[in-house]
Amino acid sequence: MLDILPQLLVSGLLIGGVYGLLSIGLTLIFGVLRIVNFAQGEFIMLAMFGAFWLHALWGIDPYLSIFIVTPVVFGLGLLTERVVIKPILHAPHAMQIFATFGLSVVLQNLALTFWGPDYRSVQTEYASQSFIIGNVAVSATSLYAFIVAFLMAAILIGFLQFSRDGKALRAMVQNRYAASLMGVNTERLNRIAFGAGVACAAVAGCILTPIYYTFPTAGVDLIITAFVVVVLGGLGSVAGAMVGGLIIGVTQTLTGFFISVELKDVIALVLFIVILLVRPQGLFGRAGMEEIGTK
Amino acid sequence: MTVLFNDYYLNILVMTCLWAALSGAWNLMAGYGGLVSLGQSAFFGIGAYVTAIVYTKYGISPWFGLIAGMIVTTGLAVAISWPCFRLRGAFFSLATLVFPIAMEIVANNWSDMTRGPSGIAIPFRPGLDTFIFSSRSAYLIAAFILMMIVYGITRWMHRGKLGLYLIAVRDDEATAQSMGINTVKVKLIVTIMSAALTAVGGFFYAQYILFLDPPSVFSINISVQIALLSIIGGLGTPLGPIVGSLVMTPLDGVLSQFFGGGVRLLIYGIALLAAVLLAPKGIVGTVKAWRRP
Repeated sequence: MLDILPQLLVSGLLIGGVYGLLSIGLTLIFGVLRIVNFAQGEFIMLAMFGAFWLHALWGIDPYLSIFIVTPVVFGLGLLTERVVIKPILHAPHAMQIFATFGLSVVLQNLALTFWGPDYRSVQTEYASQSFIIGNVAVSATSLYAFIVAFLMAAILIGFLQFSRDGKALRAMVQNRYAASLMGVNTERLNRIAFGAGVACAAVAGCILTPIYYTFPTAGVDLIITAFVVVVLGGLGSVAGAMVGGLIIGVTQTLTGFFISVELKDVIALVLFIVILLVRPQGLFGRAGMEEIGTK
Repeated sequence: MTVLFNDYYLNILVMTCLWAALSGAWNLMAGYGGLVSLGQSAFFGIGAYVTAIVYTKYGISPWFGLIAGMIVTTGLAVAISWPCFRLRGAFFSLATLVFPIAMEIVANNWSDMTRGPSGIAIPFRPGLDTFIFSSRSAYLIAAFILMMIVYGITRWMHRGKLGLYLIAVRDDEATAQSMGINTVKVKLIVTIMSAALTAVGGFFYAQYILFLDPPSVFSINISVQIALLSIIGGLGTPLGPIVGSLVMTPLDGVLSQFFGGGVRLLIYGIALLAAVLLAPKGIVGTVKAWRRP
């Protein structure tokens, strides 16, 4: 029983890295715009379809398609910010919730209308490969996904720490009003933050296509996990999202093996409620973060 | 006249009243209390399931199932909402979103009780004691009464102390508390009312459709549709949910006749987006704003 533990931990951590990547875009958008983007899962789904079609039509590898799909989704994000997000920035939160919820329904059903409800998958020659280290087997696709996830998180954290726009974004996370008084162009940065947030979703979508099925409601399954991860890590914290992802990944893998597969999903939900109640600001979030942006 | 009262149109009328009642129950919480619940389908589904289980498994009249359903639902609503009241705005919605998902997993796996994914078929035995009728007009009368009860409660709240307390809590909780309003108690009362009325809707649905399975009652789409009608009609107004349902439910009926699920829901999503972006006050609120410039 115990000799399988290293294998479970490694699998959990690999999955967790992807969960983290699913969540960093969501956390960035919330931190800057104070909006919970319920349509984040649909941007992941669109990117998955992008990577799927690039592979099906022109044989482009899903990892290469990151460089094609991400800029396109970034542009889509800029457009969405203009049309849907900007008008509701100061609206009551019921309207904010249902604007992004409405967007998710629209995107889901656009995909359903164009591509049908079928489950599709991308077959790559490395899909069945795995590396054996000691008595732990690591599948190639999960390992690549894990590496891309952490690269992406590192790039994002680097951007936030060192670039001028990144510093301005962090200033906005702390205090939008003060940032605008210091000459930060908040409208422009809102757009950048939303674009970058959905671009993270696009990267996540591309690396998921070799592991997961592509279908119109794929985003719904993923977004719930992303919510749990983000709340655990602390909304607005990119590092928190990565750590939260690893914790959830390991927890799910362990409960899935030792208790039952059905409970695997319930445990994430229970964890979600418990964290919200016990430590609403999350592991890395600032206290009071959960109260901001609600008025 | 015969065209108007054939079964197809009667069904749309019944569903219009049922959706208006469900949306009205949501409006109590969300429109007045600012508790934007995305978990209403959990209450709806539990109401439906308890009724169906009590009737089909134990052979007890659905009327007792209704009472049992209301008790179970309100008990659960208190248990899950009380802790969630500490959460604000979108966080409350996120937390409530989890309950229908959890309930669907439970209903799928607790096969002894719920018959799992294959669902429960309720035998057709017409009678007042079973709340099953062979004519749709009888259902229409019942659904209309349910809708009017919800409307009446909303009007009573709209004018009364409870409604004012709720609006105070919604607009500024800290100030409301400092004015001596027991905010938790007020939120709890409205949640119990909303959950109980939603469970009645579930009971009605079970005895009308006569078939239940986990996705048909616990789907998040039901929560969204319940909210959508109030948002389109006018959030926080007694008439809003009824107007929203009068516009959207027949439209939905017509759309589902011509299109499959994808296009129908696409139009639904666009309606939701358009309502939020173009008429955030809903039909009732917008008309009121015109009349009183």
